[in-house]
Formats: sequence, C-alpha cells, structure tokens
Amino acid sequence: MKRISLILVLFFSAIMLFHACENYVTDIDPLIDAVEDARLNNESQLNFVIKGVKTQYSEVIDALSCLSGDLSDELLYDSNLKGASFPSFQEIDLGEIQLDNTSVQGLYNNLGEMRFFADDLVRRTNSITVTDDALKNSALFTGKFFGGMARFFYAAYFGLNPDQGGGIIDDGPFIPSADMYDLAIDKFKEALTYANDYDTRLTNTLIARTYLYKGDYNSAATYADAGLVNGDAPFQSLHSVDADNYWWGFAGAGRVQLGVDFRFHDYIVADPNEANRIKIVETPALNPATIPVYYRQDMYPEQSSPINTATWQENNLMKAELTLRGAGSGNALDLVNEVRTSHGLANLAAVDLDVIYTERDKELFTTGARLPDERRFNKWHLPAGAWMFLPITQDERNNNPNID
Amino acid sequence: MRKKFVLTIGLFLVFLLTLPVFSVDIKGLVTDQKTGEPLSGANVFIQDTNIGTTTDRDGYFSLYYDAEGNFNLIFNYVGYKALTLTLNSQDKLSALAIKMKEDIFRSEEIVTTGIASRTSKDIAEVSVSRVAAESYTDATSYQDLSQLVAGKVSGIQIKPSSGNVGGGFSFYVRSGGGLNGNEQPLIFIDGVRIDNSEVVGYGTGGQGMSALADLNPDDIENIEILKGPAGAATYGANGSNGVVLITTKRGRIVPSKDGKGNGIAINYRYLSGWNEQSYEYGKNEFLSYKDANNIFRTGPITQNTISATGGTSYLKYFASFDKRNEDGILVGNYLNRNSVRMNINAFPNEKISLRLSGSYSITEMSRPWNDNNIYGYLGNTLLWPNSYGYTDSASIVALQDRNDINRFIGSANITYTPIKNLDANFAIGVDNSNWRQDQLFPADKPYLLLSNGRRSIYNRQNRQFTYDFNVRYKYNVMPDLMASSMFGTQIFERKNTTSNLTAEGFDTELITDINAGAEFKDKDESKFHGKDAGIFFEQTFSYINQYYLTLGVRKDYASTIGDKAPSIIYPKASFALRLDKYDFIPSFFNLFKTRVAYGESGVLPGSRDGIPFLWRAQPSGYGAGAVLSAIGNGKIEPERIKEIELGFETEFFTNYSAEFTYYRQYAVNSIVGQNESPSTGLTASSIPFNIGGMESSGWESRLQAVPIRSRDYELNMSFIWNYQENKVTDMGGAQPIYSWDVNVIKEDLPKHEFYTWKVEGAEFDANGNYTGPKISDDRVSFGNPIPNHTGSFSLNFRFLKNFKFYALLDWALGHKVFNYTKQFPTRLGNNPEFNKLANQLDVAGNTSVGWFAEVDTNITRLAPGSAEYKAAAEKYAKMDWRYDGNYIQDADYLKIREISLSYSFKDILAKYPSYQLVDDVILGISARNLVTFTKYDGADVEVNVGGSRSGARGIDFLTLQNPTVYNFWLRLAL
Repeated sequence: MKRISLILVLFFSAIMLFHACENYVTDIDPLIDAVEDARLNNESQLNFVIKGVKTQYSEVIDALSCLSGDLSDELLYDSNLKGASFPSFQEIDLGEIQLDNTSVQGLYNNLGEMRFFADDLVRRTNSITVTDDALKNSALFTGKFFGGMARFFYAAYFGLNPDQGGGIIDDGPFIPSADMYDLAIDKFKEALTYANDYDTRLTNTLIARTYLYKGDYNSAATYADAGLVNGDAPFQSLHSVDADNYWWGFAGAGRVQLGVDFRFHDYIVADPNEANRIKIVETPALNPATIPVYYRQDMYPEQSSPINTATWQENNLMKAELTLRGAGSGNALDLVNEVRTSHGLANLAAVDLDVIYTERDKELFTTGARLPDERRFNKWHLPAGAWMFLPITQDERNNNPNID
Repeated sequence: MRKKFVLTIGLFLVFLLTLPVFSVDIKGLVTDQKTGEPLSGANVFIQDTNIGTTTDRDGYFSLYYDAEGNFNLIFNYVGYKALTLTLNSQDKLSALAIKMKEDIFRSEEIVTTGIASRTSKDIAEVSVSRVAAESYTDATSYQDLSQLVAGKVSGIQIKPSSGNVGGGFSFYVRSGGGLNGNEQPLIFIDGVRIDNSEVVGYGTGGQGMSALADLNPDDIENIEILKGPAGAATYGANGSNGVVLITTKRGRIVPSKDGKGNGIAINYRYLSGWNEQSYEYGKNEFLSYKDANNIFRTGPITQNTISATGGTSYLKYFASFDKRNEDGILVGNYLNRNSVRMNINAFPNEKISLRLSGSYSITEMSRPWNDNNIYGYLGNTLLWPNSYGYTDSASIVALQDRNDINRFIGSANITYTPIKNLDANFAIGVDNSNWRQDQLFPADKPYLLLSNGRRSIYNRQNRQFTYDFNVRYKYNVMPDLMASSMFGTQIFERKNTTSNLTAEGFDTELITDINAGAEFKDKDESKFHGKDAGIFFEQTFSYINQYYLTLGVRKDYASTIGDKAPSIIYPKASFALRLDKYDFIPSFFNLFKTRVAYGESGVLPGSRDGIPFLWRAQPSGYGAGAVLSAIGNGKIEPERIKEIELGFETEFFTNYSAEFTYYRQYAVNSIVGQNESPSTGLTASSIPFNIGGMESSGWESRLQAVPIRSRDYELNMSFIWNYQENKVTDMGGAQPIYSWDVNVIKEDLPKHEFYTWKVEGAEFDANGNYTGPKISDDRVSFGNPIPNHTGSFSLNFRFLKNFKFYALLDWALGHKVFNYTKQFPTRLGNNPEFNKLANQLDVAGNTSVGWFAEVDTNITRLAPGSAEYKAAAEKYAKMDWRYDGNYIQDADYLKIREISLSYSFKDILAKYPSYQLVDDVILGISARNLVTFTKYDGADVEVNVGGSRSGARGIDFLTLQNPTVYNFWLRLAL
C-alpha cells in the first residue's frame, strides 16, 4: 500500500511539474514592437493601416524614380564619381541588368508589398464594421488608389524581358504592360467612388497618365481634362529623417552613386532660369584628371525632402502632348507656357512633340518620367538588347510557379 | 531462534564496546613516485569523515584521529592518481612514506558527462574534451576564451572573425550541428548559462563585439566540452551544437610557510606586450600598398593580475583582480578590461556543501571601421589606387566607437546529502550585463552620407537566470551491480532589451551630447523575454566496474510560439566497456575503454516563427504606419538532431595515450525558410517550414605522448586530427539560400558551400580578339569556408628543471576563402597585374571591365591571335572581377599559433631563506600568430566580413587581419 502511495505521489508530482513547466514558459512579457494580424481588424486601427500603405508607397516611389532614372539617360553611373561603388547601379546604367540585381530586388519586393498592403487594406476594411463613414472612405480610397498606383508601376517600369514590359500580381502569370495598365485604370476608377474633390482631380491625372503611357490618347485626354489644375497642390510622397528619401542617400547630398546627365547643366547654361526647376549642384570626381566635375540632383536636398509625384504642370504637359497627338482640345503652346511661367521661364514660341519631350525632361526631372518617355518617344539611348525595363527579379522567377 | 539471534548481537556489541579506541597521530611525507619531489598542498583525509589536512611546503602532513581498527586514508593531488591506503590504528603511522603516481593524461579526473552527471574520464560513456586552462594561462597570455580553447581540443574549430581586439569569434563544433541556429554551443560558467552573443549595436562595417570579451581567461581552471547531442541531450533544445562548461578557479588549502596551520597563496603577474601587423601588403597586390601598410600601428598590451587562494577544511576561497589594457593594430581599436572575482566553497557540516562564485567586470572597448564600409582605413587604402577617396585620414581618426560594459556573473550551489548516497543539488545563477555604446562622427569632419556629424547611442541590457535542481541516489541493485537514479529540472530565463537613438545635424563639434543634434534620425527599441524549462531523468548502471550504461530522457518546454514548438522529448543512451580489464588485452595497455552513445537534441525555432502574420510600426513622413514584420508558421516545431558516436580511449606503455571518436549526425525537421514570390507581397521574411534535413559525420582523434619525464626534463606532446563533412539532404523544394550571393544552403551540398559561376576561360572572335570570359552554364561548387580537416600539434618541454618551452601549431585543409578584398580593387584599377593584362590586351580604360585600369602606353600591346595574347587573355578572364568564383581561393594553412618560453627561479630562491617571502619568480616570453603558411594571397585566412554570426562565411572583404602578438611577463608567487 505504501509503495502504491509513493508511486502515486511521484506520479502526480511529475504531472504537476510538467504542468508547472508549461505554464512557466508561457508566462512571458508581451511583444512591444509587433502585433498579430487579427488585432488590426478593428476600426480604431484603420488609420494605422492606412498610414502603412502610404509609408510603403514612399518606400517605392523614391527608389523607383531613382533607378528608372539610372536606366534612362537622366542619370549616369561612373565609378569616378566620389561615392560610387555599387555594381548594381552600374548594371542598370548599362542596361545589362542581372536578374538578381540587389537594388532592383529591393525595389521589386517593396512594390509587391505596396500592392499587397493596398489590396489588404480594402479587404480588411470590408471585413470589419466601420462606423465612421469618412474613415471608411479614406481607407477604401487609399487602398484602391495605391493599388492602382502599384499596378501602374509594374506596367510602366518592370518587364519580363528586356523589351517586354509588364508585371505579376500575387503569384499569377505574367501580365503584359497593356493589360496591367488596364488593371491600374480599373483600380483608379474604383478609387474615384471614395474620392474628395482634390483626390478626384488627382486620380484623373493618374488615369490620364496611365492611358497616355498605354497609348490610348483619347481616353487620356478625357481624364487629363478633369485632372489637376493650376493652383492645385502637388501630390507628394512624404519622407522623413528616419525613412529617408532614396535620392538623398544614393544620388544626392548624402552620397553620390549616381550623377545627373551633363545636359541638365547645359539646360541651365543655355537659360539660367531653368535652375528654378532643375536643381543640380556640382559633385567631385575621384580622379579629376579624367572628368573634373560631375553634377548631382539637388531636388531633394534633405533626407525628408518630398517628391512631387503628380502635379498640375504634368497634367498640362500631358494635355499639350495629347493635343499634338490629335487627341486633346487645348492649346498646346499655352499649356506649355503656363507651366514655364510657373517657374519664371520665358514663353516658348512654338511646340511640337520634340519640345514636349524636352519640356517633360526638364519639368519632370527626377520623378521617374524619363524612362517611359524615352520608350514612348522612341528616343531609347542604349544598344539593342539592353533592358528597357527593370527586370522582374530572379526571386519572382524562382518562386512563382506561373513563370518559367 | 530469535533469542539466540538477540544474544549473538548483544555479545557482538559488547565485544565492540570493549575494543580499544586509539587516538593516533598520523604523519608522513608525500612525494612524486617517479621524481621523488615532495608534493606540497596534497589533500589527505580519512574516508567518510571531515578529518583531513594538506601537506606542507615540504610534502609532510600530520593529523590526529580516534581510530578504531581499520580505516581508509585517502590522498588527492591535482594531476596525480588518487591513492587510498587501508590502515590500522595499531600500525606504525608516524612515518608514512606516500608515493603518488602522476595521472599523466588526467584520465582519473572527474569530468562532466551530462547536465548533472559527473564521472571520471576513464569510465565516461561519451566523448568529453577538457582544457586544463591553468596550464596554458601559466605559459602565455590570452585575450579571450577563444584563444584559450583553439587548438587544444579535438572536434572544435574556433575562428575569430577579424583582428579586432574584443572582436567576435565563432565555434564550429564537429560538423556544425544541424541546418538551423547559429552553430554556437551553450556556454556555462560555474553552472550559469551565459550570454554568448555577438553584439553589433551601431555597426562599424561588419564586426560585432563578443559578449565573452569581458571574461578573464586567467580565472578559468578548466573547460569541458560535450560536443553533440550524444553527450548533451539532457541539456535539451539548443544543445545540438554541444555544451562548453567553464569552471573557474576554486580555493584550496595552502600550507603556511612556518608549517603552522594554513596560509594564503598570492600570485601576481605583470605582462607587457604588443600587437603588430602580421601581414604586409605587397606592391604586386595593390598599387596603394604603401598607404595600406602605413595605417597599422603597434598596439601595446599591459596586464596586471593578482589572485589569492587559501582556506581551511570548512571554508576555501579564491579571489582575483585583473586589469588588462590592449590596443589593436589600428587607431580606434582597444579593449580595457577590469575584472574581479570571488569564489567561496564552504562545508558547514558533513551533509551540506555550499559553492559561491561571483565575478564583476567593467570593460571598455572600441572598434575600428572596416569591412563593407567607406569610413574605414582598409576601404580607403585598398580599394582605389588613390587612397582616402571616400573618407580622408583625419576624418577616419576622428571616428569614435566606445562601448562600456558592466557585467556580473554569479552562482550559488548547494549540495545536500541527507542520507548516505543521496545527493540533492540546487543551483541558481545569474548573468547580468549592461552595454552602452557611444558612436560619434564629429561635426567638423566631412563624411559621405552625413552632413554635420552624427551621434548614436545604443543601450543593451541582458539578464539571464539559470536554475538547476536535481536529486541523485546511488544504490546496489545486486552485488557488483551499482546503479544511480537521477531526476532533475533546469530552467533558463532570458530578458534582453535594447534601445538606440541617433541624432544628426550638429552645428558645432564642441558639444556632442545627443541633444545638440538638430534631427533625430534613428530610434528604436527591442524587448525579448524567453524561458526554457526541462525535466530530465537519468539512470546509470555499473557492473563489476567494467560495464557502464546510462539511459536518459529530457522533456523540454520553451516560450517559442507555435502548436508544437513548446514541448518536445529528447532521449539518450550510452554504454562504455573497460576492455583493459579483460585478460586478452595485453598488459601494456594501462587503459582501454570503448564507448558508444546516442542522443537527440534540437534547435528551437525563432521565438516568433509560430505567428502567421506580424505587423510593426514603420516611421515615415506620414507618421508610423503598419507594415509587415514577419510571416510565420503556426505548425513550426524545433529541428531535431540525432547523433550516434562511438570511440575509445587508451593509455599504453604508461606514457602514451590515444583517443578516437567517430560520429554521425542526422538533422530532421530542419527549419527552412521558404520565400514567397515578391508579387505576393509576402517578402517581409521567409516562411519557416520543417522540411529540411542534413547529414553529417566525422571523426576526431588525439595522440598524446610523454616520452621523457624526469626531475629535470619532461616532454609532453599532443597531436590532434579532426575530419568533418556534411551535406544538406533536403530543402523541401525551397530555393537555395544565399549569403553574399556566394555562400549557399542547397540540397546535396555542404552547408555554407561557395557556389557561383565559374569562368572557364577566355573567348575570342574570328580575328583572335578577346571577347570576354567563357562562363559555366550554371553555378558550380567552389569548396567550403569550413575546413574538412583540422588539427594541431602542441609541445611542452621542460628542461634544465626550470625552463619551460611551449609551442602550438594548427592547420586546416579543405578550406576556402572568398578574397573580395582582392576582387573589388581589381574592378577599381588597384590591381597591378590586372591593369597590366588589360593594357597588353588593349582593353584598359575602354571596357566596363577594364574601365579603371589606367592606360599605360609603355606596356607593349600583344598581337591578337598570338600565343602571348591568348595566354594573357586567359589570365585576364580568370581575374574578371564580375565573377566571384575567380576570387574564391585555396586557404589551407599551417600556423605557428602559440609559442612561449619561461624560467622559474624557484630553486634559486630556495637557496636564500631570507627571501622566503617569495616562493617563486617566473619570467616568460610568448608570441601568438607568429607565422602562417598558406597559398591564400590575402592578409588572413581567419576573417569574415559579416562578423561571427552571419550567414556569410569565409568572406574576406576589407576585414582586419589578426595581429601577431608578443608578450613578456613576470609572475610572482608569494
């Protein structure tokens, strides 16, 4: 009997010890730097999630505009630039881009997250009860608008092959640029449902830009006419000291891996007032004997400098171009000169598509427009076979079952 | 019948009571059996009593005992085989001549074989390596634990990741455990599981600092290492890479100088030395070689160490104070360490013993900027032909990276023996450290990426507690069959918090507090709280002192989140057989033991791996927004590593020993991170799955010989040879995982294999012009940064009685290093040979590959199509900097690692009794990293750009070489 009692005591002691251990290890301090997904399914957290989408957008647009500038003839990479050392930038500059180019990889991953965050915001908003209509509209507009923006970026900047633009959504098959532009337009149009007046004009400008890049000039003209107007504030991506503008750290005051093409200096030499909209400064060479001085952008002098990603000036230039392409109804010269006047520049006497091309080069300097413009205006500067888009990365090709 | 029995017992008791009880005076002299030298400080005690003493300075002892018939007198002395004499009170006991036999290979010493298991090495069922630390720290000086252990034990590789004083280092035990974790063993000091992190804080390129840098190697008495799950199963999860058990010096009874009672032994050592550049860059390597060589300095080392030990049979103490100041070979690198230790052993009564250990250290460290960095000396003198293009030398000198660390490690251990053969142990230990880093880019100096300076503060608090409780009962199952049962629990808790803050935009360099910065740039904090708990049971059997069997199991719990992660069971079993006790074994075998052991252990998933979606707050121009932090898997469970080892230990012809162990490990359920396509948006982290597997095996061997041993001469040699191999067997279909795009984790390849494209030769057009390299169709294997073969040879030679010479050589075979330090400057025109070839081929300055190779019209252009042209093109292709494979090099090496010579003035002092205050004076000289023989053409084969914990391995990119170290020292024994 005693032996049985002893065995029982030992058995129950062991059971208690096991149980105590299990309880002990789970009694830990909660996380302070992260939260589980389900806890964000609440109206009170919606603003936090909305800001996340915009935050991710700012992570994308600065690098996208910079790297597309590198691939275009807007920026140049030269190891003689004091500060240049990234082979990934050199590959892009030459259009000889490896599929595992680390700079492109980072951007492509961020763009994927931007698309997911935006779509997820729409899903989350629709899955919870939101009593504040304004908040719900804001959430749905943000999700749709930036979802459209992400699809536009895929269409305009990425490609499966050097001359085949397009993108991929959620592990799906490759979507060529033309189809991807349509998906972007669908999203933008859905966003209009939840937009206020300014957001409506802004969205129309972006729809116009998307149609323009797609080559649907009539539709582009329709939306450009309802786009941003003189007096509207630019739509900006916001940056901060601790989430700094990519330009600052790679092609700016922080470090110069990429300089600007020398023609921008020539623009200013030809007309000093161009410095009002083309902000560049000299930057030193490592070996001045080769090239004594380079120039770098000074559009974003601070880490927190915002980027104008849609302006009424761009809308004007689109309208002017569309008119010249026979789709718009405005006066192209007036539209261009209105833009020039806003910078204190003298009026032009005449415009044609070449002038538009140059005006866009100057007006949309360092905003990412140059790469699609080179393609649209048939001004491609690199040899045949070079990448005309940033490549869909090796990671995508490795992990996506729908891509060879 | 019963009456007869009672009567018999009664008469027997009466007989006992009438026996005489003698109070005897036991005296004698204890000497070394072979040399006849008296042994001072040997323990002498009556078995099963508290009665004992130690021999005096001349080897004599004396004690009183109320003897009743026979009794056992036991003699113990470190390094000698224990001796038990059965005496009788009526014997003549006043002039015993005790001759103790040296335990040359320490096979009778007690070693740790499991979480609460200790046995002598000659019957241990698992492979246990032991470093008698004191014998090494007496002969030379070590900056840290890694230097003390490296090359001394089989089956362990220890590599520094740079030549930074205070820098990180990594263990690689056997074949590196499984696929997961960082391959580092658990480290315990006096029973306290200690923090073995590499702390990076605000980086200086690539190197972190070792959390072990503030441990004073001179405080260590011995280090034991259990190398894999077979030995470490009862340590539970995370014991898969073995366990390092460090025991610090304990107090001992010291005979007084006047022969009356006990005294105190005081040791003082003054050390002076220096670090210096070990490798000089040559003119054929870099155009800028002079500038690169000019950056180095001689870094002085000074160290003062004082310790005291003494006590009685009831209380023993050891106390030490150490102050070491050491400068590295680059400006801005130093380590100043002050540490104090107090260890106490108390024996208040026969049933209780108490052990207290405590150390407190204050360490100040500073790192230089190097590695993948534009602010460092190496980056500014090796990359470009024209130095200091990124950062001028005045700005480099002005950089500051100061780290202040306060650390307390303490433990209390109580052993209670309520009844004979039942021991209960309770131990509690704490490792508490506070780390503060202050980093400064002065505002008055120019730095790329910065305007007007930067100031960063990083704080790290780490607290870990270890609790152990176990009970062991020894008993006889039947005659000749001994058994012991042990049950226990071990609990570990860790709290780690960090916070950091950076400000920029300082208007003056005169005020550098963080408030003077106009903008706060970087701010963050982290908090980790985790607990592990394990319950273990172990049953051992010993039959006729020849067969030994242990069975054990541990059930483990952890705070890791997930359905299956928190609870898991690890079994073990081991068996040893003393073959030398069989008659068929020749008698020249003094010891011949075989053993086999099996055990399982694991590697826990990350503490958050079980949470499917985690969001964090990302600061931005919009405020803080929700972005994905990590993507987990609720089904995740620990990786499990199974190991079987078998081996033998033998001693023969008294003076020779050999040991050998073969092991094989199988990692199953290894956690592999599967990457989602970026188009899904789920790239915040890879998603962990238990889909991987790995197999590894190897052997480790050691031969020791003491062919000469006399009063005046002793020669002790040790030869270690290890082999390891491993292969990733399963990735569950996941893509290979790359680090630095060269190291890979991939099925059918060893872990960390270099795997990239190979340049197979040059290609030419129809006119014979070089058109570029011919590249392999796919990536190919280039070998591994972890050597297959490693080994060492050490030699201790005492001559003319008081001279000691010590040398340690070590080597590695099957070792590769990626020389990115060579590759990147080649691209930038700083490789003279590449530049010459580019000119010979007439491609200098006019292709993207040869763009920075300066055009030199004095170099003769070779004619396309000629044999010389083709040869130059082949060579040029093999130097094409776009292909990493061109710069992965053989890095087998042989190093003269340690060498020392010392002389003891003990005998001379003995001739002058008036100087009796000083027992001994020892003068010594030592050197470290003296010579390296290797085909590798970089500065050092033992560096890694990513520090000691990164996935990148064996990558040399502007990483500081390990210095040559010279020391002179004086030791006084009072």
